[in-house]
Amino acid sequence: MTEPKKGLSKTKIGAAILVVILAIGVLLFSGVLQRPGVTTMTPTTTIVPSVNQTLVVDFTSSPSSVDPVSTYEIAGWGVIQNVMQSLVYYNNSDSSHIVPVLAESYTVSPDGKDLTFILRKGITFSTGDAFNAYCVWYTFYRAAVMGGAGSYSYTVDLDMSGVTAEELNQVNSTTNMPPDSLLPVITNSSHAISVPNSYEVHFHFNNPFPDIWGWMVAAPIMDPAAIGMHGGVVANQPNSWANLNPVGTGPFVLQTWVQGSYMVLAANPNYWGGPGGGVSPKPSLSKVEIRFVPSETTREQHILSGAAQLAIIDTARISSVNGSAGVVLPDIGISNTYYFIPIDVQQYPLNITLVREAVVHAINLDQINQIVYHGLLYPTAGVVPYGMLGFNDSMKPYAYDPTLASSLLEQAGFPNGKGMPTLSFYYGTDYPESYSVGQIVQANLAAVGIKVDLKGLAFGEVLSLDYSTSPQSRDHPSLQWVSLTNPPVPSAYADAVFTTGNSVNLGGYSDPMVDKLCLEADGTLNSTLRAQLYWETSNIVYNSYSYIFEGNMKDFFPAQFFVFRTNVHGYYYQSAFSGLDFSTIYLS
Amino acid sequence: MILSIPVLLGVTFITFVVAHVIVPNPVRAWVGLRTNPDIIKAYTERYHLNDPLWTQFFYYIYDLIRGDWGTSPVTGRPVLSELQNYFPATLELVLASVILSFLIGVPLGAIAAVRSNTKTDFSISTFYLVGVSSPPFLAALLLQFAFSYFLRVFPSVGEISPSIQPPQAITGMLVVDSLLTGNWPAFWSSLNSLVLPTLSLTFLVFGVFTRLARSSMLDVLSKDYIRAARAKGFTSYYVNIRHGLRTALIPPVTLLAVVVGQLLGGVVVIEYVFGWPGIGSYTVNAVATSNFPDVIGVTLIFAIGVVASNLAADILYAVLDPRIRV
Repeated sequence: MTEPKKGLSKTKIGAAILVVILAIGVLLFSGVLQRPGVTTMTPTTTIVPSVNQTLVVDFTSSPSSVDPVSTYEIAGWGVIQNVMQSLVYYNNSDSSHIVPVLAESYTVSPDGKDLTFILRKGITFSTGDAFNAYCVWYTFYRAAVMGGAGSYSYTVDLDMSGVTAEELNQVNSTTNMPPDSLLPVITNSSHAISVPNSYEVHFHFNNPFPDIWGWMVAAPIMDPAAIGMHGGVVANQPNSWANLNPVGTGPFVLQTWVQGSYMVLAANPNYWGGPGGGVSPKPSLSKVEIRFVPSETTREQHILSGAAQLAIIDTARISSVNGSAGVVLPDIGISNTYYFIPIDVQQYPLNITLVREAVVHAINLDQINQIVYHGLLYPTAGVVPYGMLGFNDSMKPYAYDPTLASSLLEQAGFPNGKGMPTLSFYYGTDYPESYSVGQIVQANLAAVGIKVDLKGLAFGEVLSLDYSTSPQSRDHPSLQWVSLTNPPVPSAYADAVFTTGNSVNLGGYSDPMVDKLCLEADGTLNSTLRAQLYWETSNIVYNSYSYIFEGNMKDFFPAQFFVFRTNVHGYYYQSAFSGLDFSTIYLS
Repeated sequence: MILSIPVLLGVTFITFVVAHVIVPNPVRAWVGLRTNPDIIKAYTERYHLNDPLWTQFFYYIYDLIRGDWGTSPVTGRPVLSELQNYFPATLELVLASVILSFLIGVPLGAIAAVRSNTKTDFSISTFYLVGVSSPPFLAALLLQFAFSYFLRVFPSVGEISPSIQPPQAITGMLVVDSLLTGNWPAFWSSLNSLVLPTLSLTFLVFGVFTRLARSSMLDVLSKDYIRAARAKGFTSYYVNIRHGLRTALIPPVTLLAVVVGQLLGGVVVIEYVFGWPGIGSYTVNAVATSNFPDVIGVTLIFAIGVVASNLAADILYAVLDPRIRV
């Protein structure tokens, strides 16, 4: 008896159909697919590393943009600051000294309203395009016309009217020289920014603004020719090419970027060498491989095993990583990252001062510091964070006193919290430690009879909720976790957080006297008087019980906790960006 | 096929409503805290955020029908372009896992059926039950620990080594593209990177095929024609494989398509652990920035995936089993 050889033709047909359907699906989807997420920059010349060293870095997430005008994310700025340069920069970790970078020198008029920069000659962008004063003019006005998330650094306190996208798009040759027809606009000294000649730029402010340097260091100059070739400037719209292709004069160039996966920065072969004095030097590293690793466990394993030489570690895991062999947690002193909890002062019953006073005294900040932040918060309070002009170390966070809190609640008409509506505490689901803070706040307030609902949203969503709901409404967060890292200048905190309707004023706080004092302090050249004005403001805010001040992060890199292998050297704390300057880093 | 239209419309509507209700006006999250009122106004008008929800939905559907999936307010790139960027990595992982699950699961199920109620059967059942009941991160972490940190055989994260130039994009799937372009260093690197995420996902899924293949095979083996074949003197191997398994394959084969659809949206944890640049990681970022055009786009692509795979399953079933008509 022979076994039949006839095959199961229908099964085969079925399997074939399945394969074909899947294949068609793939091909349909990928028909126009060029894997836009893979960005490969071709340098104009072959990259010759100064020293053949590669730094492997584990970051948490891929940037959504590397155009400084379009992004305010730390992830994006971590790349921008290594590829692009500003007119001036801090003396690395010393934010009290300004170093001219793309500028050769600068002068400030006696009234503080005019800044004139003389630029360095012979610098080119990594594309080979020339750098000159027209690039500076273009970059600042581009930011104003585009109006992206990062525009503020370029436009703060300047009247940027009078220039259009059409005019900007006329600067599009590789020499970055404007056509003659545009010169009347560029040289117009009645504009906020004017260019008298190819290597001189003039900035005019309506009021003196001593804090301008904090923003100038975060205003990198872009290549007009490169942007002009890829979509140019469109008013109120991001440039999708510039979001993926950073071009600058800096020590590194973006070599490869597989979105969501990794990025390779290579030493810029055309780099001009930096201003000297250890600021933005020619890099020792030939390459920096930045991997985007969302899993905390994986990042931790990488740094412990040496698979990464630098990794971001979550707050909760810092203490377990600390002390491991081959790993260093650098001590950078006290940073300017400020932690506080805004109270919604317009929401009933938090609009009653006695209730707010009860709330601030009911919360055990030391418990939060020890349990959540492992004692890494340096307790501070006031409108200006640690170390800046106007900061006064004698002002400390509110004392924990549940007895006083209960008594104040009773005085406010809510004995043991009776009659108090439930408050909400919003934490950022992308910041796990904020949930732990919320749990302690919830438990502390429950102890005096105040009920709190913990609500989690991504931090960006919490901010959107702040802006899209009225502070009087119960949909608005009653309390919320905030960590703020801004340039190390006092107005970047005092104005943003405490003046009426300002960007980080999330609890609806408003006091005309505070607004007046901040405005006066912002425009005062006399440092002693400025400090006095901010101190006066701090006292008003403090006595209003509108913010639960926690303190400044100390010892480790704030915002992102960078942990290094012991063979990594040369890093420093960048107060301007809270990022890393790869140009100074080398391996042993 | 026709039923899929209201399904897709319903999914789009629900996602649209949910995305808009959580955060009514996300412009600040898109353009930053310090932007000026003109920009907020421009974005609000561009995305019709001041219009009633149903009007906003109408604009969205109108654009969708014209092939415009919207523009990401965060990156300024078309949503479809973003999906094309991230989706192939997920699809590559899912296809690799489903194929491997099928290749492992079905033979194991057949063996368990042929040796039902023996130690072999119990061992296979225990093995697949462990896989099916494990949380997704467990297998991933264990494999990562064993093969990346201890044995150092496979990379722990990523889709390809950063030191290797990725292949030219054709399908967007790096293994396939490097093969098609003959880029062998990229092929080996991307294949190497694919191993651990694929094994992790396979460990979770193969049991579904094993279980189905086992029950299907047991059912087939009790049929009269199998007994007749045995009576004719065919070998056990021949009867089990040619008569038994071929018929018993119909349910697992049709399940293939369904599993592909379901896994497309279910690989987030695996992508997270292995830093796999797929649609899951992308969705998490989109949610974090209230980027609802992208969130709706991702949901829609998942829904299309599920509907298409179910449709494929129906068609396959009809092809494999003549008693069924589509």
